[in-house]
Amino acid sequence: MTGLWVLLVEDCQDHADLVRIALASANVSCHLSHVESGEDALKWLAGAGPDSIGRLPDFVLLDVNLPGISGHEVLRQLKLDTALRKIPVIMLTTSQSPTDIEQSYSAHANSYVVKPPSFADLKSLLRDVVRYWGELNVATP
Amino acid sequence: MAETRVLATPDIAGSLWTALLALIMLAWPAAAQDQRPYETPPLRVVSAISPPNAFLDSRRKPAGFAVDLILALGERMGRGVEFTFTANMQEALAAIATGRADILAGVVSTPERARIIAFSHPFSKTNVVLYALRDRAPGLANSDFADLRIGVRAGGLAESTVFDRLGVAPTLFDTVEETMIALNTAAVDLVAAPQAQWEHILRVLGIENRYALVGEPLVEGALSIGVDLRQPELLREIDAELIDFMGEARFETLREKWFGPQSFWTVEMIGMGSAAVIAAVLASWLTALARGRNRLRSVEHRETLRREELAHAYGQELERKNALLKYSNSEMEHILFAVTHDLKSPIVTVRGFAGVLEEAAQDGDVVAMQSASKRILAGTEKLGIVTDALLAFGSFGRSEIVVVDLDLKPVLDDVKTMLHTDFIAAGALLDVRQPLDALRADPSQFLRLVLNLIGNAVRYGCPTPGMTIEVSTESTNDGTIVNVRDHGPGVPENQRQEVFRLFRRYGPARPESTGLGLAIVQKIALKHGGSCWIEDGHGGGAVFRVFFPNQAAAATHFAEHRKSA
Repeated sequence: MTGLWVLLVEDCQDHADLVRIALASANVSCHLSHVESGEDALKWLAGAGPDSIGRLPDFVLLDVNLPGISGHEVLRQLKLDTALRKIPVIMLTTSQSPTDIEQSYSAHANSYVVKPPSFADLKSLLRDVVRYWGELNVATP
Repeated sequence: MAETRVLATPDIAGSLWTALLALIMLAWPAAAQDQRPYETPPLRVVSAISPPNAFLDSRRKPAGFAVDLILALGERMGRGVEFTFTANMQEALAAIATGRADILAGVVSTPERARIIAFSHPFSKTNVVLYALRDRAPGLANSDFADLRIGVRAGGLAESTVFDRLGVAPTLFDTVEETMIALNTAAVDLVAAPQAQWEHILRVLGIENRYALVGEPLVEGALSIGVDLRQPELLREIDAELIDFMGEARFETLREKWFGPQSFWTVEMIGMGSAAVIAAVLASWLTALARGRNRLRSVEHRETLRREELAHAYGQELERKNALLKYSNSEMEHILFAVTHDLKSPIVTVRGFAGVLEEAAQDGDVVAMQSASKRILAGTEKLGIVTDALLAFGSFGRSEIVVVDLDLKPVLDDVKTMLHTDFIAAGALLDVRQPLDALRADPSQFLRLVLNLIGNAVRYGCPTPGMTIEVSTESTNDGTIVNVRDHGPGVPENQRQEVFRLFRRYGPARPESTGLGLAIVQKIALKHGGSCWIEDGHGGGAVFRVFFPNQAAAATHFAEHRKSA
């Protein structure tokens, strides 16, 4: 498969749908895979996901507050895994808690963005995130 | 008669007291008369033994300032006088009320007495003051009188004064001497009494230094002659003679006799009965002195123990309150977290889909518009649910718990009934492991706790029909543990504390779940001074365990639990 592949880890179906709709509405071309929990995300990245496409995603959009294993724990495990640590992880959350922000960067999150309430801002944000992390950023070979 | 009598006399005083009572019995009802041949019937005077105003002298003849005064008035009125002495003021008033006497010898006006007698022109002043043992007096001056025992002679001015001025129900005694004995033996802390009366008794006994006044006089009153209300003519006559007599030199002579520096009132003049009383007072004082040191030691020891116990109890209570405060703070953090996450999340949904709706409207995409509208509605519903849940959690268990001994069986029966449809839907079974230990908990909160635990087990711990939820108890040294075990997927170790937090869920999100259930379980456990935790079930599943301490262990356990948490 060519083109960008983004993994979205988001327990709220509404938010996942909003991301999908916003990407489409912003004419951002990428393949979005969605999982609802931290456990599923780790399985997915280990190559066990149902629609795994045989290569690592270009970046991960990771929610912090997840049922079961939290976003922080997913991030920690991902960054400990030598095979997975190079995947840029963008925390995408409603939380503006300084603790969450601090904890995320300490665990080597690549970016931390707060979900904007307005749809127009969400579109604009996703367009920028995809453009930067999918196109401008030079990833580890 | 007096309503309450507290008499704490040593044995020696008891026997003397008996002698006195026998003598008083001999004195009643035969009236002591001043035999003079008058044509008119004699004035029938009644009085409680109340030196130096009215008492029986060593020859058992009536004596005292009021007695002399009334004899003089009787002489002026051309009437004989017949004295009767009673054990206390109430009996004297009763004698007037029942027509056995016309006059009360020396009396201070009180509302209670005014229902039976009218008061003559006052002929002497009297103060009601508080006395304490001298060494205790300074410490009592600024005390809250409500905490002190105050002895008074029943029916006297002191009784009504103490009640009116201090708002304290005094301890009643029949005689002045009994109040003195009670003070000596620490049966009371203070005695309220007419100052002149007490000072004379103390002077006669030579023990003025043993007692001291406490505070200002409670009341400053006047001594009058009380006349039967039904005899206004007699009152007028007595008043006229009294006012005249008080203007004469004889009145001053009388006053000198009873109250002057060369007072006629000496130990010799006090009747045998009164002497016995004085002996009793002295005996009680000496006995009290002898016992004082030992009693003081014993009292101090008891007081030390009591203080230590109190300090311990207060310490425990303080720890519990501190722990509760810490829990409240952490609970507040959870609520803030919930507000930032669980309220923000639906807001993002609602506003996001409002934007989608707007775009779909511009494009004329009706299907997308309908879909967005549904999401907005669902989002606002979610907002409502979260808000209600927050309010419910905040207000739940705000009231103090009332802990009682609880039998689990009826609680489990109730829970089974309440969760009937959930059990049917999940195809789950409830297995209650006997015997169930009793525990101490607030009944309504305990019901809620068990309901939440079993409800949680049915929803998350029974994914396939035919699974069993087991409830059992374990007795420990300091309380009881309630176990609710399921055979579901279990809870990973790193989630076992998280799931008790507000709005934290483990497992698939369910529409009916508010994320409150286990947070409330923890809140209830902590309020009882207990704790809750999750363990692996042997052979799979999770065991939710809640510890309820017995009463003594509650505060300590609670504090320890919060420290470790």
